[in-house]
Amino acid sequence: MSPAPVAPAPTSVARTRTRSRQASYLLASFLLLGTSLALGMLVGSRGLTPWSVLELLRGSATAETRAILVELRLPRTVVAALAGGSLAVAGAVMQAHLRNPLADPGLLGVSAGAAVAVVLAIALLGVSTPDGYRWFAFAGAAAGAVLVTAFGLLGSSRRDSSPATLVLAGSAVTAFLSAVTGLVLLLDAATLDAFRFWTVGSLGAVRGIDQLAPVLPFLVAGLLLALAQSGTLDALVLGDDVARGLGRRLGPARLSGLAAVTLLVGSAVSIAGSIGFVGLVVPHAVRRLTGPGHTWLLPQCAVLGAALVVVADVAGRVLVHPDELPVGIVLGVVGAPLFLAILVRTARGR
Amino acid sequence: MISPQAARRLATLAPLPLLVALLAACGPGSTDDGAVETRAVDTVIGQVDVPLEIDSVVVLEGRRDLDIALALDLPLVGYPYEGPDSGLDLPGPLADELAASGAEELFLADEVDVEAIAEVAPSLIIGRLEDVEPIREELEAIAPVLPVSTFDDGVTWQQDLTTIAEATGTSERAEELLAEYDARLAEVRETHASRIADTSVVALGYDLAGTEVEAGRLQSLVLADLGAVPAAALREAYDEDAGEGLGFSPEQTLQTYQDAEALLVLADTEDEWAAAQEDPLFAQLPAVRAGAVVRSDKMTHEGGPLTALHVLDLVEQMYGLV
Repeated sequence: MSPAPVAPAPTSVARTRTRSRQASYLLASFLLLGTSLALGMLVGSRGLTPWSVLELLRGSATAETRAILVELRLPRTVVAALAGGSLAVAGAVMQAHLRNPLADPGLLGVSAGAAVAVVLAIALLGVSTPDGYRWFAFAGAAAGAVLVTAFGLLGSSRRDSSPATLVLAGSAVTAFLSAVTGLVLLLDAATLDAFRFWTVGSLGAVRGIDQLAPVLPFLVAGLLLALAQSGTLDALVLGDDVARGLGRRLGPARLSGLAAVTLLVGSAVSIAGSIGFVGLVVPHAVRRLTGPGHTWLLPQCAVLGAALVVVADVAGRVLVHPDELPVGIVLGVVGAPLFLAILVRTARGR
Repeated sequence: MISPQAARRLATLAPLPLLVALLAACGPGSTDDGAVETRAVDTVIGQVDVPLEIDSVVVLEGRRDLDIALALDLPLVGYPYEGPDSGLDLPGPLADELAASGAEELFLADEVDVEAIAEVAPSLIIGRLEDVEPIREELEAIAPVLPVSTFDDGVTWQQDLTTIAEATGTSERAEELLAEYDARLAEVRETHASRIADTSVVALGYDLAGTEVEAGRLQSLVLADLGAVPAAALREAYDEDAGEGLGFSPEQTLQTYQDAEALLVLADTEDEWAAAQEDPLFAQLPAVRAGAVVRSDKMTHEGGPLTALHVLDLVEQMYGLV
């Protein structure tokens, strides 16, 4: 896969969109997110009336209602939102750094690293709960990114890890890690049974908001780091030479980009399992709304990525009632056609 | 008319049948002197010639097949084992009999290793039909294969026990086992008659993704044999006849099992059992609040007479808590 420009230079389109229009888009996105969060609290496989939330707030809800809303729906909705926002922002950062519209967090070995760590934790240590997977997923994601970065730096003649080198290193490391994962799963059906639950990004196992606390600092750090790079990302999209000409130091920029992606994706997979398509589809869709400038693109990705995963989770709760569909499967089923539609529309628009 | 070249080739090939016959004579049980006496048995995979003298048996799946082999006192030499990643922490229903058998762990459960089986050269292989079918030829090259089934395929463990017993000349032992199960069933029925009549019960699988009830699982079948009053979810599962069972999301735990007064909960790992204890909806279930809950795991989902007796013990324990 050869790198290609992510989008036209920020100057051509972004200027046509005024600050107030961008702000109104963002406000609309927040309203959408608010609606999806409300749905996340109100809709589920156990039918509850909208009044149940009011009863909860007044303190008159039944123990069952309280347990469903506080212990199940609230944490899984928050996890869905945080994971979706993180993955979408990570996708936008990746696409800018690699100047590749097909880049997603999986390309840097982050997802494959998390997967292999979870598989080894299950197979060798008998870890069997999402709580147990959490830090293995995070460590695996970080290890995958470090490996790719190291090979990317080694393979780059300018010591600034060019996008092409990173993509190639990412592909190779991902292939290797996926092979290890495949080998373990092939040799051990019991591990496959446990792993498939993680790999489809199920939020059904999320219990209690306190599970988020250990991961939250990493996620916030990743988000802040990404947002702080928006100017650099605008420059990187124009090409390495232009970015260098604009005074950007490519090596540190790439490293901080990779750090942001690792923190965001590591946090997301550790709380929600492996969720695909968000990092790929959301930045594409949002770029059509905001233009390529990352000052607005990144916050919009965070908000709409969050809304998308929450809505997908809500859909998964009711589609196969009384059972549930994992959010990763819903996103795969919806995300693939959506991505194809965007591709077709983009191609026709050229 | 045969050409001279063709005649020469034929002459070269002439000793071949003799060579084949000589080589074949080296194979086990193929000479008149060493011929293995067999009993022809009709099975779902066709006729199987089972040796009259069975020296060693290997099983493939580790539940119904293993149970029947142990229960019929067949000379078990190898069986599949659950790896540490399965997380199972309860002692298996066949643990004592397995230890006494001295049989060897041959391969991981669900990972049938044909080479490991060939190495122990069993005189008979018993395995679940779905495990046998994909590698039937390889297995039959090692030893005759007797398939067992599952309740989902419409075959009870009693039927499989009888079939395997007939094939291995152990019908008398099978009759004893069936009588033992019936007697134990009657004993539990008599001891807990009023509780069985008045208490709605369910056997449910619990994990973090939710709960499930399956009519075809051994626990549900034993409850049916006992004449237990099924809770709504179990009744629905009996009516459903879907084979796959009924799945319920975590949100529905209280609503689904609210009418159950006693539970047999199948949680495979200690972590899952701990999660159940911390689950606020599970904790609100009337049966849980009353303490009428007994835990088991997937090793009792399927089985034969020994596992059925073990499940009966669990069920009796459950009624004892009501």
